Amino acid sequence: MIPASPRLRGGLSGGNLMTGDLILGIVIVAIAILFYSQTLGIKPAPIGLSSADFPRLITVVLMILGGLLILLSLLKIKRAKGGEKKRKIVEKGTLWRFIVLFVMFVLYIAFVDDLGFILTTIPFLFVALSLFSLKNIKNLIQNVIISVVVTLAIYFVFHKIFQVILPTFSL
Amino acid sequence: MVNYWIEGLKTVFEPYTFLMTVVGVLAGVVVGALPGITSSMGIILLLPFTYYMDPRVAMMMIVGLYCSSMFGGSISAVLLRTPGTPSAAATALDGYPLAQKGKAGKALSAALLASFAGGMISSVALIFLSPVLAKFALQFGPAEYFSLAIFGLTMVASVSKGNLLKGLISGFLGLLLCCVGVDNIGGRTRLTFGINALTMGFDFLPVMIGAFAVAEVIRKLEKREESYVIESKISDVFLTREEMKDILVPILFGSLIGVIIGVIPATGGTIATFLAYNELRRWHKKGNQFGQGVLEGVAVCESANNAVTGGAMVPLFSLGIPGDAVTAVMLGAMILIGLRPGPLLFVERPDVVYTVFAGWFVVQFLMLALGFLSIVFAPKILKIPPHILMPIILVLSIVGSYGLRNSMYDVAVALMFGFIGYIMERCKMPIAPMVLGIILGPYAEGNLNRALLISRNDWLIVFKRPISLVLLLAAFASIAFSLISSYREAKKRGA
Repeated sequence: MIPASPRLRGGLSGGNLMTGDLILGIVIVAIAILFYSQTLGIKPAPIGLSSADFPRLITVVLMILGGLLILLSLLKIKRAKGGEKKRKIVEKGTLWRFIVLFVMFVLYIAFVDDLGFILTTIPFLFVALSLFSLKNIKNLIQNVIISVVVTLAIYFVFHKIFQVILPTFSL
Repeated sequence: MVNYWIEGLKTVFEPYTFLMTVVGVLAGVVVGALPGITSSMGIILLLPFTYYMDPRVAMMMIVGLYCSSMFGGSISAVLLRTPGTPSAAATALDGYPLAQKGKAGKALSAALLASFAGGMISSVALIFLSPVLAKFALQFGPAEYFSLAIFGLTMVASVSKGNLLKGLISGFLGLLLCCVGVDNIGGRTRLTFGINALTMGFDFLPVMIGAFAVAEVIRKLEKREESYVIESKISDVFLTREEMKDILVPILFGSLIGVIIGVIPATGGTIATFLAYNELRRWHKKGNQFGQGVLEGVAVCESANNAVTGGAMVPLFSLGIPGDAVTAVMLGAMILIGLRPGPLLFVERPDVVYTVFAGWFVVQFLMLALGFLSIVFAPKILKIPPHILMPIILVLSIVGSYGLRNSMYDVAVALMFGFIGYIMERCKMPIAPMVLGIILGPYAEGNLNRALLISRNDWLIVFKRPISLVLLLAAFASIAFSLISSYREAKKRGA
């Protein structure tokens, strides 16, 4: 029996390594087919490799490897007969932290070019520090200080000493 | 040749180079000591600093970090029983019991001396073997280079954590990802799915930063930790004459094993340390006391660990193929600072090669001196709280990926690969082969194209040339060997 598929209830639960492998195998084959389809319009070269040949070679190998993974995981699932216990993939609290971090990534990338490195990195670092802190309120002031000091220090070291050009705020 | 050595030494002792080497060695000890920050991550975080440096200075900084991080790993192995680098895992077997007996200082001193000796002895492999191998590899043509890339990739995939199949998938995913964007041969855009931004492709640096550094930060978000608690005190750090004598044989034995294992591609420090430790335990007179806290156990591991460094640089320098995750990152680092490892490096940039050769010894002495200081300050290093360190690493990752081409696209790639790397780890799929695939991909495709042009589209050319055939057979053998050993393991577990 195939164990329950991953679902959202108190975090992501269900699924084990075998079903995980099955899903992984399917994803790999799908990616390979998707990329292979992208090479279909490319004309062959008279001699040597065309732009399509190398990716085609790789995608075909990936399809075979992905297929093997599917086959092996199906065999294992059949043998285990659902004996493996369900386990939580990600705890609920962690899932929320992941989502917040992901949203911060998107916001950071969206605003850094306009607002500059310093103005975006300070809040970004503050949120990241808060996500990692175990005692949120007590560390609030400490986190604010660290975000400001570290951002300014990194900006100074890279921008001024190592000449790495970082985005700056301009109206 | 003598001239190159003198020039190399001169470069190493130029104040700026020397200062940067010191920074590299110090950073290496800290990186090695902190659990969760591996040598690969350390090199990646160091890279943004090297963008505008002379390649020789940058190489010294990276080599300094690489060598000393191997010693740094023993600090947390002894004091926390958590190895700072994976290859220091065996060090904890005797190091931690020694610390519990109140001999943490002595254990770390033995580790430092052994690391120093291992590093020095490994230079023999680096200095004598790599030019010979490079000279041999000068005969290679495009077909051989293509097979070499495949060989390197399968070797790393076959020994990577997880399993062979997933390792290979990871490697081929890397090869596929490097095809996205503008094609190196024809110059046309491919595999972009009509998305404009994807024409910039996936450069290996942001992928490397994402998969190794950002992914680790995300992983730590799941398992948040406060500062580490260190129970043992560091008091007596000097070894007596008797103790020095006791660790001499283990050091020599460990170094020998380390050098041999190091030269073989895709082996690395972890295999060398466990092999040396187990072998010594079998025939050493104190063998039955191993694991209860003997200095010999620490010495043999740490010498093997550091002796791997010089050996592992041999295939990287002379053939341009890395042996493990750290040298894969180092290959990326070298390309980034404008060097192309491989036989031509010895012809085109002997200045860099001999600076590293000469600097190798200087790094070992610096490690000895700074390592000794670090033993005294060891508990303070470990007090750097992970919950503050990780967000800072995140910002450094952003700066590192942005600095490459001054583009936010690369930052987005790095952050995205942070999540992809995390998911891959959860699926027990090794990350190193993917990164190596992205680095070696353009090289494999370019050489395959050249081989086909020369042979007028004869795809069998890679099997017809003897060296190329041997390399492909070796790749095949490594897969077969890995399959057999995993089959045996599964059978043993089933029995």
